[in-house]
Amino acid sequence: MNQNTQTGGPVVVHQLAGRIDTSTSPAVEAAIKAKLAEGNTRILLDMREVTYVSSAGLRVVLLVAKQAKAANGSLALFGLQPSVREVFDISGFGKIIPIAAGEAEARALIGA
Amino acid sequence: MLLRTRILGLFALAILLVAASVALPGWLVLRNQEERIIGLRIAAQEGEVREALDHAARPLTAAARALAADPAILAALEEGNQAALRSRLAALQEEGGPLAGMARADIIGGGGQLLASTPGAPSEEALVSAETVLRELRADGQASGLEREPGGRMLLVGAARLPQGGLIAVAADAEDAFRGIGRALHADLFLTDRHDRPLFATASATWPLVERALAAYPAGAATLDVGGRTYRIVPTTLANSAGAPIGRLLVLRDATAEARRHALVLLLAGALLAVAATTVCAVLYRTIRATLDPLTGLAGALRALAGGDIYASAPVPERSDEMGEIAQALEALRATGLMHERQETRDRLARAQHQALIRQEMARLAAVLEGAEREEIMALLRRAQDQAEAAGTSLERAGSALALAFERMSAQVIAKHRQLAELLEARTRDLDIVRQALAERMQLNRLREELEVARQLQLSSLPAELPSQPEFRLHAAMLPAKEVGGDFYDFALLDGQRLALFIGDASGKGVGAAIFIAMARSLLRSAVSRGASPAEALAQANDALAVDNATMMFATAFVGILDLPTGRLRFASAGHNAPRLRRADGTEGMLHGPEGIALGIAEGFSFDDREALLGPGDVLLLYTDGVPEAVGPGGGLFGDDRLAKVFSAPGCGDPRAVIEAVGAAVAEFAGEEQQADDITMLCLHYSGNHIRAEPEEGRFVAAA
Repeated sequence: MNQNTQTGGPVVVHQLAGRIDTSTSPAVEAAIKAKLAEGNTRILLDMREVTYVSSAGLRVVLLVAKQAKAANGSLALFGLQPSVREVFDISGFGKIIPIAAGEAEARALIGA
Repeated sequence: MLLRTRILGLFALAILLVAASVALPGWLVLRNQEERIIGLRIAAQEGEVREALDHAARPLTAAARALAADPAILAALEEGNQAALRSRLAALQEEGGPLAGMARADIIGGGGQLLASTPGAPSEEALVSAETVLRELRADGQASGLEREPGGRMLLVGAARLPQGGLIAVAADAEDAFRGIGRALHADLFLTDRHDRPLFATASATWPLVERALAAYPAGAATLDVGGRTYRIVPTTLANSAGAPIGRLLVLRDATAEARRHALVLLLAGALLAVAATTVCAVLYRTIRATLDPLTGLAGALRALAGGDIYASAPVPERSDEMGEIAQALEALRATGLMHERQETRDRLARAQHQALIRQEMARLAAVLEGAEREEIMALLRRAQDQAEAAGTSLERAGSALALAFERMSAQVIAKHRQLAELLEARTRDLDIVRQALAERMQLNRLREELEVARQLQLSSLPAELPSQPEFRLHAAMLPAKEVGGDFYDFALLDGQRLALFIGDASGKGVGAAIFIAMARSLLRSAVSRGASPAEALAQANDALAVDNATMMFATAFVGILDLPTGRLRFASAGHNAPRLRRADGTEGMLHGPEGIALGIAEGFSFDDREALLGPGDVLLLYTDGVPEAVGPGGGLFGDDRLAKVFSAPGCGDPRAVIEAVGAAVAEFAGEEQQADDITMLCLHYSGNHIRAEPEEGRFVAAA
């Protein structure tokens, strides 16, 4: 699980890669939470390199989305691979978490 | 020696004082005696003179007596005829008469008046003071004495009483008398008047000397040294009949012998005294010297001893007094000194030995040190030893070299000790860590035991008894990835006509997931048993789980209710993967439904029921995503395709066989890989209402 973060303007983009499962999700959670604590409440998750998301990964996404919302921010995902998209769809989380195909659309979704 | 001198001086002084205190009073006494003697002499001389005068005056008194008996005089007296008396006196004074050669004769009345006197008498005054004479007449009626003429001549007077009262006094020149007295006394006489003017002397040549002597001794008693002889002058005051002093008679006696004797005696006494004193002094001196002489020696020896010469001693003969004691003490001191010296020598040796011993032990002790430090200590020790062995090195210097070595060694041992202490501390810390790890391991074991209990609980809570009904066959299996799983399955017969089927998957694995899923299961089950449809049950469960879900745990779930008589299956899904259905004719596919959201995330979501119709021989497989998402070596997933392949493989419709086949396939696929997720399967074979389907043993028949 690799991630790096770009901060450009009021929006922070977290680039995630690899698997987001029980072992890797804590790191992802910590990174996003850190940025959130600094006041970066508009969060984009670049999922283009993510190969697999487990229920633990889903949980982390839900968590940070809730926190962003609590901080008057917003969170959106983009560039999901099909299998990953399927996971979100099946679990029904696609309904509650903004998912876009590309970055621009995702930015629009979070109002940046 | 100061002390001796002082003592001797004191003694001399004392002797002197004693001598003086003897001599002085003695001398005073002597003087006193001498004065008394002089007094006595004077008194004696007075007597002698008086007697001599008396004797010399005898003829005078005889003459006076004769006259007193002279009838002519007597007659004249009777008559009171002074002229007759006068003439008679004159007559008597002529040659051959009793008054021949006499200077004067007086006839004095009873009242003291001069009645008559011899011719040539100068005055009207009586020769003598009659009253006094009369008063002092001797028993025989005679008296004698001296008178002085106004012209200066001394007269010797003899007197006799007149029978009628009164006197007859006859006087003669006293010179002869005095001469006679002188001869009688065997001495020279000098007569002076009241004013010490010489009147008469028997040896006039020596008068100046006498005068000088008298000048020195106005009282009169004097000694005169002239021509090698000593003369004593004893005065006698001469008084006339009236008692008035008329002169002095100085009797000069040769007292040479006496004086010489006296001087001799004095000399003897003085000599005696001196000799005594000297003797005493000498004796004392010798005694003191003898006594104190050893003191000098002792003092010298003591001084030498104090100065460190322990061999000094003073030869002192055996004595039992203080000197002897001091000598003994000195000896004792010396002995002590010698002993000390010996002791000191022994101590020195002992100290040297000790130092050697210490060096030796220190060399041994230095063995605990290493390398450079050890070398340093050994070098210092060697140096100390060299110093100790070198001649002329004082014990103190050798000692200080040793002390330096010791100090250095101390420092290094301390440093080493500190090192070891630190090492020990570190080891102790490590030990503490190990102990902590052990404690944690024990705790871990405890937790594991509890997890095991929980697992047993969970496993035993899963429905074990598969209901035996003619309409269907059911099998289920759960393989938790951890000790406890986050999946569940459940089934329940509702009022004998309907079969409820549940399957669910909580996010994550482990105890948290197990608890959450247990909650979900009981919620769903109770909802269904109250008559809710699958969608309703999911909605109710979701609402309940979404409350107080800060950690965002969620669970996918699938609920299905099969109406056994009709084969109608009503189902709803909350984010769960669709089950697979294999028809009796072998067609196989997924039973899709509306996709609800997983339970527990957001309240208020609604779910939709879907229906499907099962025919006899249909097999329904409910499973969790642990099956398709099983990880194989290389990271690949088992996938839905492989599942479909296994499920659709021709074989019997026995649910147990199906589950076992899928399980085997997954196991084969995963190989050595650790199970990634919980694997749960629930398989149903519907045989319909009317057909008692015999379980077909064997494998599935591949769909054509």
